[in-house]
Amino acid sequence: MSSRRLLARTWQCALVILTAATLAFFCLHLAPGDPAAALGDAVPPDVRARMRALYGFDEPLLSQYGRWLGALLQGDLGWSTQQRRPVVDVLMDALPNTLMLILPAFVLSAGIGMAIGAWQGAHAHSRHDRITSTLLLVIYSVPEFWLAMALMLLFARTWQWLPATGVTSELYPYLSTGAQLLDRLQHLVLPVTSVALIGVATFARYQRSSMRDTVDLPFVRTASASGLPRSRVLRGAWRASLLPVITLAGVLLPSYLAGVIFVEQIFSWPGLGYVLLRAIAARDYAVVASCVVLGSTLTALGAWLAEWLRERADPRLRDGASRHVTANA
Amino acid sequence: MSPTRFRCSVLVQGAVASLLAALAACGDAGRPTGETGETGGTLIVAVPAEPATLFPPLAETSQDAAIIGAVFDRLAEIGPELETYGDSGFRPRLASSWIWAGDSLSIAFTVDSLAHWHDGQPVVATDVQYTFQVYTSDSVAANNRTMLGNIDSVTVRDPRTAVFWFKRRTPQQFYDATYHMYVLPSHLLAGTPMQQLAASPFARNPVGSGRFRFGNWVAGQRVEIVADTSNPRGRAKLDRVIWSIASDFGAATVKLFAGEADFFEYIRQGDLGQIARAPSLRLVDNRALQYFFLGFNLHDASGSAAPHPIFGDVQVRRALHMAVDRASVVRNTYDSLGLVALGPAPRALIPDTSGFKQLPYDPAAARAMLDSAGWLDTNNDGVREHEGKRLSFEVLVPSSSAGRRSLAILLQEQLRAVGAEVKPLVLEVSAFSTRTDGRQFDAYVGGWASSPGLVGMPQTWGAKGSGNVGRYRSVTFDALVDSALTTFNRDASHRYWTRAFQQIVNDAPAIWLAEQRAPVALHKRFIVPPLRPDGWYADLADWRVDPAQRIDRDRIGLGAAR
Repeated sequence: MSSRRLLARTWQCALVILTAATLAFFCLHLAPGDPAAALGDAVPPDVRARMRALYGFDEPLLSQYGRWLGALLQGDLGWSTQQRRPVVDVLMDALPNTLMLILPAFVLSAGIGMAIGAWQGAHAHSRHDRITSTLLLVIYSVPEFWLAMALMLLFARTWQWLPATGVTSELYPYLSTGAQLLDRLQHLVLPVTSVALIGVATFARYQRSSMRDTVDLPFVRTASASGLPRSRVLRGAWRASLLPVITLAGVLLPSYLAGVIFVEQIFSWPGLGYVLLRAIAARDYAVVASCVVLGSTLTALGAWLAEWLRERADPRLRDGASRHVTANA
Repeated sequence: MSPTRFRCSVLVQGAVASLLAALAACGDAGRPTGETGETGGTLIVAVPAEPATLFPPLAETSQDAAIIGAVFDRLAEIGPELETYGDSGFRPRLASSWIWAGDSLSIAFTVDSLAHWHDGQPVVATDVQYTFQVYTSDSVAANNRTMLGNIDSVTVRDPRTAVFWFKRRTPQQFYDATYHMYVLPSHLLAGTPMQQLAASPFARNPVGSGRFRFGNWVAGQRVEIVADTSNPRGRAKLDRVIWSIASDFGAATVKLFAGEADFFEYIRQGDLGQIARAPSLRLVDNRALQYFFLGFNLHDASGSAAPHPIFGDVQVRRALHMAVDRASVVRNTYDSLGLVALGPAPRALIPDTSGFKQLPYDPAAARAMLDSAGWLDTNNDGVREHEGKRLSFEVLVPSSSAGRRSLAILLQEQLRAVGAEVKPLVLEVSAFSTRTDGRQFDAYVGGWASSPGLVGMPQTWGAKGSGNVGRYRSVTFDALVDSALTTFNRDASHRYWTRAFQQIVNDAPAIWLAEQRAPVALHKRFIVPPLRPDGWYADLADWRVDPAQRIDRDRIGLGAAR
């Protein structure tokens, strides 16, 4: 990627992030209520009124926006009215938990999904392919939150094989190192499975489609006709079929962020989604806007990563090559 | 009893308590913990949300209050009867004794000489003075600030004596001085500007003086407190209490049933049966101080001072009240866990529940009253009209409360029978509060938690009360409440309360619907004193585990975490 294109992309991303955050700021402020009202009727109205004055919620919206934007441009994400601490601390506590959930889920779903999809593509229209496709379609159609609740009810509440909620058990600090590791893994199983299963189905569907198209291409037929072993031919076809799947990965990674919101809520997993839902309910403006900034940034980074990987995988997409292709066209 | 007679009686109590506490502390010093006997054990409390803060003046949620109540101390603690009259219902805490001034306009509290903060510093009178400054500061927005209105100032007479000066004599002076404030360590906080206290590290890592000390807070996961083994009143019997944070009620309930938690406060009706059947759990009775009502806006819903076209007329309000079979509504909503509310307070706090009459359930009389008020169904559409206005109104309901949603739906059905059209509008909490704070509603299903001694009545139903969003105005009611709260004659106080309740029941600014029993779920191995209605956690330091029923997590002891 040339430095000029990089700069243009950076500006583009900054604009997208700012627009998304601004929209989030105004949408939340224009909804009825404010952080003081969100405390509910258990807190007397005069206390809520004092809180509004103290935090400036009664100021004009543009004035609040100007103050927030000014602070944001200086790297200050603001103050969480709900958690009563800096937003950056809130996000720094939540982000590692979300990554701990997303990354294994992403790797698992990409690995397993691509393997299944490639196998299906190589055996397209066989009986096994049809059965697998049906199963994957069922999984693909199930909402993540439903899957998460079903897993929790079965494995945690009914059979009590795995912990129901949380990142670790309550007595984690008192466990031995080995037991701590096991405890963390046990807590990961259900939420990671919930997130990963849908991803497996998605990756498999795309990989199958791409693989099926690739195995019909002339170079694959030529390789087969030349007597190369089938496994080697299929490996080559799989590599060639990766391009759309890589694009999908770039698009899917940010969508995992959205997907984990409900999974985190169900499993009480204190990640970004969990923080975001609580912040929306509490009208915690700064946290919501910061989550949107973070989410937009990760989305932009995901898109970049996908583009970079596609260029690595297909030299025709690089700068010079693309100009050459365009000229020829 | 005159307050001047309150003095001295507690001096002896205080001295004896201090001596016993010192002996208890010495006795604990060499005792192994977490194995046998009275001490040891781990309580895991499932909560459906994370605490907001552990800075006492800003406590909002039940979780905040529970942890703060275990880590911090008041000067004196109210007894199980929640008697707010004078000081006889209070037990010494940080104050070992107190003396009333001859004119009863000041109380001098002597801080227990053995009391110390969990960082080892002694508790001194300056801490008490500083605490009052924080709670009443404009920069802090403490929730209880309005309850401290009768305290003029707090001065320090000597390092161990803090003097509370009052604006006027009332029977609740002692309660005002002690119940609403947890004493804060000035040596740790005085250097921080007031407006930054909420943001200070102390708010998430507090240092108190209670029988539990703060352990740790892992964001979104758990808060832990541990027994303070050097506390002059004796260590807490449990080794530790852990608040395990779940994302919502459902997840917290799963923790309880999965054996990951021992205690859950917010039991839903549907889970009661399963808890009763669970071999390891039991239900513990908990008299909540909440009551629920359908509150009318007596003035125009635009927020103006004009009378409300429907509820501005007391005859209409009374008719609507009489059209509701409250016993049936409560039974259908809360089953056996609900009682019909008698007025703007739960029975436990009403001095004489038989002294005032309820409006009867009488639909026929209700119809006649509406007829005579000019509300007639002239077009036979089932809804009455008067001067072109239909007897139709919106009822705001917070989406967070299943009980209140159910109440609204049942009211809709019952009022339809007398020709009133009720339109329940379920709103998310923030939108609900915005509408009620702005007086922009016809009616709402509200719920209040009453203060001991009914001292919060002027705030909730008095003409100047900030919680009186329906704008009920009655000079008679206000005068009776004021007299009830200020007279030193207890019998007269009861009579004033009875008349005040009769007045507000007759004025019907609301339909008094329900008070709820709120049993909590607890693991059977715990032995607990009766739960105090204003907070189950009040005697948490005295909870213990039956040695014969201990499980693995009770045997950890007080050893340091890894």
